[in-house]
Amino acid sequence: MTAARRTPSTDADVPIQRSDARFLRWGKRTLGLNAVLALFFLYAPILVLVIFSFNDSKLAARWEGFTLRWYGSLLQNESILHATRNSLVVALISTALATVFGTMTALAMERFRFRGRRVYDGLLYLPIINPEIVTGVSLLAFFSLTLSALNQAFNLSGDSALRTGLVTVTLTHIAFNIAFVAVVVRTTLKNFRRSLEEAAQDLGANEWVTFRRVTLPLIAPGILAGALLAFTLSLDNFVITFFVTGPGGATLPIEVFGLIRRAISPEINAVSTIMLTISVALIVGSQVIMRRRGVMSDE
Amino acid sequence: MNNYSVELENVSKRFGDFMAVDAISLQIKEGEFFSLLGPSGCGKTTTLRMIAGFEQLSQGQIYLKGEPVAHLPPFKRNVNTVFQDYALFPHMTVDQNVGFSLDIQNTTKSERDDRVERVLEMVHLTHLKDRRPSQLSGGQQQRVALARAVVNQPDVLLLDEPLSALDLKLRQAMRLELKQLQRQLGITFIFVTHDQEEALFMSDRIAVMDKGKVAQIGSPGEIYDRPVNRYVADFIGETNFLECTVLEMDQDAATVQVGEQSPWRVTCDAAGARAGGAGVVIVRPEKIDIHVRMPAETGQRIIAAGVIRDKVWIGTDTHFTVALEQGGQVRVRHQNMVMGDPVIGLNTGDRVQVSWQWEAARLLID
Repeated sequence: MTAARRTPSTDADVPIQRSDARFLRWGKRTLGLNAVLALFFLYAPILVLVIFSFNDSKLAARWEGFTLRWYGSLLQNESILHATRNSLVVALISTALATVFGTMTALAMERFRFRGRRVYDGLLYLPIINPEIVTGVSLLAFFSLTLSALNQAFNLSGDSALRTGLVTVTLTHIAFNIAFVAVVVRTTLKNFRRSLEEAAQDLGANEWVTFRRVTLPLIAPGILAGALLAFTLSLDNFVITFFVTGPGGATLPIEVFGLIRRAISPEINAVSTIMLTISVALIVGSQVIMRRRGVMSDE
Repeated sequence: MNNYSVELENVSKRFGDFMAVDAISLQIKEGEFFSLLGPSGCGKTTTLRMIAGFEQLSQGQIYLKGEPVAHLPPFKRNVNTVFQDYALFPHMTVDQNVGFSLDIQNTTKSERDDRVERVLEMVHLTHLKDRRPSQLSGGQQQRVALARAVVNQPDVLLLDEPLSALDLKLRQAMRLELKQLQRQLGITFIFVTHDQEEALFMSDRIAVMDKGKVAQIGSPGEIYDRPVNRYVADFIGETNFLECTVLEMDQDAATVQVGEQSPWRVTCDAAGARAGGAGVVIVRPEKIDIHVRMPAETGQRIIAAGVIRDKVWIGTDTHFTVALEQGGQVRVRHQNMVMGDPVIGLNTGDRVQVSWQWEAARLLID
């Protein structure tokens, strides 16, 4: 085989091959350097932030020694604790609801052919690709319109008037999270063999039993991964939340932004480090779950 | 009341403009091993899926034990399926897979375990009951699928090309096992396959399907020896086709002429056959003898002269292609039975005589 393939080639081919090899080697080195630089620019600032959250100095610029006092003082900071509680409440509620709706959406998109399915498919991706600032502004406009209409209709004013706050933030997070959950669950459903559901029905399981005992256990890793992603996105979201929040409805990112405008405090580094840890843990968790599922379905 | 296990009455399935199944009617007896045989796209799997309840009928009715079931969902039909890809639940063990149909009913724990144990024994998998499907070989997965489908004692077992994913050796062993299992259980098997050998081997009766229609129904012997048309003759086994003119028609026989030579007597029960019309004579290669010298004229055998065009020796047999003097060519399968047989010494270009019992040739009208 090899000999036969070499026969037609002449000596002229050899220098070309050599320069190819040089080019490849050069390319590999450049690519390696590129990767190192990319990782440096991406992660060096984060690393600095994490390190300085343990810095025993009020000033961010100099290392004075190791301390945990910024983490301790966080626990005494009433406004940060309040914002943290807000963030968790919003994240939990929006994750739960978005997971249910997102999964249902994914199932419907994957299983049924209905009128306007393609349009709906496109619309589903919109919250993901739409610039957050556009989503934020449009939602603010939407909420102020609806809320003022409701206030007028029910004659609410002053303290009893409805205004933007934690409720609008939660609704918003549900809305954008549905898209993300649906997308993640759909990838799981793409690999789902329909014959498994047919087999269950064939063996006497009605639609509900089939869903509970076959479909759900098999797509559960996808749902869980979607839920973890939704939780992280909710916890981290700043831009959209900034537009739709109101008095008393500050989430942690909003609160941190407020603090930073006053002064850069090592407390902020500490809060950021905690959020970073949680986010990374959730993302890693979802990846591990997805991978384990991959192993399981790999027959 | 009839005693058919499964009855299809004028069943059609249309996908858009495509008639997947075109008004077929079948009557399958209790305890019969019935095969739906045909190339891909002939509608055999669609027919099976309609019996299982996975596809809605466009027209017609299906009866299970005399009861119409076309409106029932799959989980309300006492019919179970062995899927082509086995469709084992990957998140359950062998035991849980097999026990699935019992677990979702209110079967008592002891009865459930008992029945699972018994079918696992039957398919020789008791020792693997705690494994997951991904830890089993293809053959073992197939047995699990089989066990899972019969544990609930269905009236009918549907098998959708269950052997196609196995390698040749295993496939041959499984054929025998399936046949034994069917005898042991006594339930009706409907077996879908594109493999004619498989169908001939296992079936009590075969329905040969072509483009959504049933071309012929019969026992393997009937289908092989008395195909009703060129399609069936061609699809089942190997056949020689010789274009001819019909000279005379008798009861169950005809006189035909191939080329300019003396006429042949052939069997015929084709409805469209008439004197003066065109037809085609079929003879199976193993029914033809090849002679080095002119054989004695007996009147019972048709004799024709020709030249060997091709010769292939395959150990058990020698295959010849012989161009007949009167036109057309025939393949001949000669059994290598006798040591020093002069026929085996024949070569390409040699002049030979071929002969067959007159009943072995059959007239078909297209």
